[in-house]
Amino acid sequence: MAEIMYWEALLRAQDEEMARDPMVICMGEDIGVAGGTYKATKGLFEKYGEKRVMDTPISEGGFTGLGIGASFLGVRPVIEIMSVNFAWLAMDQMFNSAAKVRYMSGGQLTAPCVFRSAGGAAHQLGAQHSARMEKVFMGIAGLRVVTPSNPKQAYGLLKSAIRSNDPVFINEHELMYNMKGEVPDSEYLHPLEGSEVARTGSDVTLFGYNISVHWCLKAAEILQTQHSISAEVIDLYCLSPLDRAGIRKSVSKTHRAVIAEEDEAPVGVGSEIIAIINEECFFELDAAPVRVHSAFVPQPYNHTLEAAAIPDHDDVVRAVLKLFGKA
Amino acid sequence: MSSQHYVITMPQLSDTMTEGILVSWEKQIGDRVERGDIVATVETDKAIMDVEVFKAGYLMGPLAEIGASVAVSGALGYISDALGEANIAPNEVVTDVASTEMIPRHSGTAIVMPQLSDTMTEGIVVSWEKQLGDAIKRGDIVATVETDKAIMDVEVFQDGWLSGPMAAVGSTVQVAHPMAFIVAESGAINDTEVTLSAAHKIVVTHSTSHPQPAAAHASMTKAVPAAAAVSNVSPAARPQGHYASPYARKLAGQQGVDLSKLHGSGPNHVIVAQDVLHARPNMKEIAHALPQVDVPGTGRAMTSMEKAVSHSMTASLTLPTFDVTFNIYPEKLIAAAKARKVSITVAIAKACSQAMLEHPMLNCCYQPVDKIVEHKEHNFGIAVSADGGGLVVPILSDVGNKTLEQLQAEWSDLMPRARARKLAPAEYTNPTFTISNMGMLGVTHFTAIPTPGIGAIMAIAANGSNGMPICVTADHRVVNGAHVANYLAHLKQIIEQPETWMSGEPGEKPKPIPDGDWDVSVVVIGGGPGGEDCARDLVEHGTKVTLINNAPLPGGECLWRGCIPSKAWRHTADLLRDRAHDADKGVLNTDKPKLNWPVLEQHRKTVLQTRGEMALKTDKGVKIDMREGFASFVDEHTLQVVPSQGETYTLKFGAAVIATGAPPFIPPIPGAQDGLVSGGVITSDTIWNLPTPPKRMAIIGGGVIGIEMAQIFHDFGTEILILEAQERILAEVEDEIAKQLTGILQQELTVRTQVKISQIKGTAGNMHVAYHDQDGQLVEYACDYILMSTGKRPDTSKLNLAAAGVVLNGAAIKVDARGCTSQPNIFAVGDVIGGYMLAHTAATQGRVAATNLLGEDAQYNQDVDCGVTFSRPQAGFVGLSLAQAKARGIDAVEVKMPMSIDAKAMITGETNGMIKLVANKTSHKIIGVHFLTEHTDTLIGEAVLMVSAGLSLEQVAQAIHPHPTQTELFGELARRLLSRLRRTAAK
Repeated sequence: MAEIMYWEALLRAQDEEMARDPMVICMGEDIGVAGGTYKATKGLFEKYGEKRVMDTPISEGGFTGLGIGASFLGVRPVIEIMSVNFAWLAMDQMFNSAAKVRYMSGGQLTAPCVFRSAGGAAHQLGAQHSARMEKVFMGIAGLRVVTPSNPKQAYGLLKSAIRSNDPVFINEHELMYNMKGEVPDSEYLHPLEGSEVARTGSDVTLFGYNISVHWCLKAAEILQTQHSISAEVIDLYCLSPLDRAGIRKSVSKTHRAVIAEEDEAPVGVGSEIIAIINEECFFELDAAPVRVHSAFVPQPYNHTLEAAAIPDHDDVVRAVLKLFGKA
Repeated sequence: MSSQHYVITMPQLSDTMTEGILVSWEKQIGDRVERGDIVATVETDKAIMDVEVFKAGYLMGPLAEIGASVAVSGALGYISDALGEANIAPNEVVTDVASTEMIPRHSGTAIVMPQLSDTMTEGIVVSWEKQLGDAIKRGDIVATVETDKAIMDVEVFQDGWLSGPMAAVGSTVQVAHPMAFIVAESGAINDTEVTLSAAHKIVVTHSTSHPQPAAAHASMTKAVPAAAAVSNVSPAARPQGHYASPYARKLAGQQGVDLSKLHGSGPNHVIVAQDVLHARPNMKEIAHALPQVDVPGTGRAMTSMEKAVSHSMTASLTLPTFDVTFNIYPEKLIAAAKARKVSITVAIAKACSQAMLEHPMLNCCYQPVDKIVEHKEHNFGIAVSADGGGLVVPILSDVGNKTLEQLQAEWSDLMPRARARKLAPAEYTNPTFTISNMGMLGVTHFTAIPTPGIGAIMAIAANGSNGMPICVTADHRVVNGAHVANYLAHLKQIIEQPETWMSGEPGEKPKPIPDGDWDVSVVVIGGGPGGEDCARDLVEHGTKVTLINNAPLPGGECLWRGCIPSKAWRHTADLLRDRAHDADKGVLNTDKPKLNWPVLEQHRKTVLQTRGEMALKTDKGVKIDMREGFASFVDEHTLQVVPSQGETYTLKFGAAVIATGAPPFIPPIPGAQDGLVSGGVITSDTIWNLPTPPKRMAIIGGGVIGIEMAQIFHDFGTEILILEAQERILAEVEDEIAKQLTGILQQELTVRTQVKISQIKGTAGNMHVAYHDQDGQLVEYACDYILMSTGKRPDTSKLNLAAAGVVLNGAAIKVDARGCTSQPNIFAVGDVIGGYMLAHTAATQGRVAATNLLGEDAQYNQDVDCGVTFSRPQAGFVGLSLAQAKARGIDAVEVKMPMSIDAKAMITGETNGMIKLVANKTSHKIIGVHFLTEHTDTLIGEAVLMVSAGLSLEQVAQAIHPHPTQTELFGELARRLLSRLRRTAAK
């Protein structure tokens, strides 16, 4: 198994799928000649040419709509939206066309397209470039939402998404493109649904997805070594549909839940998971579930304020200690 | 008007029954039910039983599902007095409990307790004359029973087979209640181990004879709402006045714990699962809950130790224990223990552990609720009387994996502190098995009380004519009688035959110098630092030693071809080198120094000769038998010696020490061997005969020797080219230090790495070396000499080691940390065993070997060894580098200080380099110090003591270092690292 970077995993997945299926194309801003803002399409323009690797104007609504329309006719576009903050402009196309067409046409039309977008807060990009939006996408019926936490998932989920006949939104993170991890040398398709136990534990379940999985893992290590608390970490790589059975199974084992998300709390991933816990396994709870999340403010630009607004592994540790009445 | 509803509850068959599984409904919802009807069957922990009701009405839902587990007194279904909806509504009031009874299902014809007199109401079963499953004929006497007046026979009037459940012998059965059953077919015999008790009754009339225990059921109607009754989850109600977590409520419901009595330990005093699981009373509560007995007198308060013993002894009453005793003859064990210088207690503990390897159940314990902890480690508590009364039980830990000597050492430490009650909690908490020995007090037999947390305790009484009674009292929940009996039988064997597992003699190790008719006790081969130090140590302790050296004077490579002559050169080179900077410090006219080679060589040779002669005088003075010659082994006690003069002779020795060093290694480069013969290729052995410093010299191999020579000759004015096959030079030096030193060297010398040497040719004074450089280009370099410094490798080919049974490991002799080879009476030290090929390493190993030969125990520990490379600046190390420490699993940290910040270094212009200090993060012990400084050779002394003495950062930080000296840097380093550790810990 080779260790490669997250962006390399995305690139490998796209390259393999483009080689395998001539209907797979890529589109987005600066993805062609420039090789992509995050290098996820590096070299594809040279390899597959301008007809399959399309540099688009800065018009998210326009090119996303073009891609979705093409997908109705069998093209499988991978549409990169440079930052999820710009996706608002394309949401009408994504939600009203891509997500609904299969249902409204009685299955006569499908939209087998993939939307890739960097969805987390990087450093000091200001409020308009730092918002998280997965909560919006996961609330739309007809759209699949996945969010890889490591290169293996990035590779396997993107490949599965390209082959899926449903529209899939892949929520990436700007800080994670250079993360290294092992990816199988042979072809690997990651299931688009479910969750992964990233670390087994017995005292509390830490739910994370994308970058917060790493906070949870680090927190679990600290909890184990410094507080003798055994934390289980569940990687919710699929945000829609959420893995109700996986959530129930882990909470039924540990009886305590902490949900870590980079986003602000209201109407978010944490809210949804807590609702599921209540519906699925209320009587397994030995303490009220706790959310770890950003401050409810537009992301500050100032470095200190920004760091204060976004949670990290220490916040997860603190939340767990509070849950146990130790802080 | 609404109808009345009655709940059908899960009946309780026996005291042990807590729940039953619903097997079938015999009536359907809406069916008319009469008194005495069987409405359902349930499976209990013992058998399948029928549920009979004593209330007429209509069966109503919700009914418990088939297969559902229902707690005793939990709702199975309902009876209403009028036919209405199929299910009663959740909010409807359930007025009462419908009486239920459980009877054995399909039991056959009951054999009932006969009424043998008018006054008889019950009888006691005295004996069974037939056994379960026996064929029975009409008129057989199957049992005898005792009435209030006499013992009478019980006769049956039906053919068949005797079937269970049967009333136990000795049990009381009411008149007309079944004692057993007769079935018509042998296949129908019920042989489950159900015992009939007073709770089972076959009753002719049900009307008045079975008042229900109202208290238990009255609450049920309130506590169990209809809807929840059929759910698998029946959480306990929310306690009044405080909060309980949902999971705590679920557990409390399952375990029948009353939440209202619990104190919440969660945040905000919420009752959490842990509280429910620990709802059982603690030892103190049990002790205080005992019936009050009026004891006259004024009691004093117990001491806390007395209280602890009292509470745990009271709690131990909850253990269902039994005793098993064996008489064991301990005489042989006592003798073996004495011979081995260990106490009887330790020997017995070890014996118990040996036996337990095959009977691990004895090391298990019961854990509430219904769990068994299977301990792996044998942590044996040993009961000890504390000074001033009281009982303490120190733990001998991991007895199974420790030697008797280790255990004795541990026990000698524990025992006095236990007596003085000075044990740390870990030293007495959670034993896995306990031994109480009162043999020394003369008791003939006693039993001990196991406390909760262990499965068994052993009581050892005094040895008498029938042996020593050893009684094990064990928890029957964990072990059975046979377990303990088998264990004790095995223990008896182990104690009575100690020779099978412990060797008795204290000096069981073979003597390092075996007794025999030897010419000499110890022969040392090789007169370098390793052999010489070994020999001196041995003679000082009165052992006769012959030292055979291949030269007239001792000293070996170190004195004649290594450390000492090279330092003579280095000193002169230093004088030349340092003059170049005199002008910077205000001294003029000294910057044109000139080397006078003949004078230097004369000076060097005088030092060597003087030092060698002094050493020989000392060796002879301390009565080492010094001989010159070459030795080889004939066998493991015989050496053949070819002396420098005279006849070859043999020497019989008790033990031998091989210290023959290691010559330079010559790689297979074409032309290299020819060069050695012609003298154009020189090594660290042959460089000492140069008529004059060469003008140009190629050095093959960028190790420590190569680098030292390169700089010396550079200072002598020679043009130097260093050729190294590896990616970097100084591979054996700590990474960062090597990197910085390489940078410094590259400013004054030409260093080529990753080269491949293809050929050497020419004669002394006119040599050519051809090599492929890093880029594969063929380059030829012309020079006067080529120094081959490609490491050293032991050469034992002439020692005939095979004859002595000494095994090699690669080129080196294989030894253990004591210096002992594969032949117990032959040791090897120094370069010949590989590892660090340094003089002080050899000398240390020589002393280690001597100590072991003298019958003591010593080991060479490379982790505290050290070394100095006499480059400029000097590299040095003691102990471990950070990388080495991490590889050994030590959580280590490093701190470093560049010399450029030091005022003394600035004054002398010696600002290159650094000092690094490596410490164990947990213990703060200093485990390594690394140098690249101009005065490493003197500064390292303090570092050597830090590492070898295991000083802590605190000790070095607090030590007062003189100002202005560079030793102050050690204090600075320690303080800085401590400060960092404090800050990171606070984070």
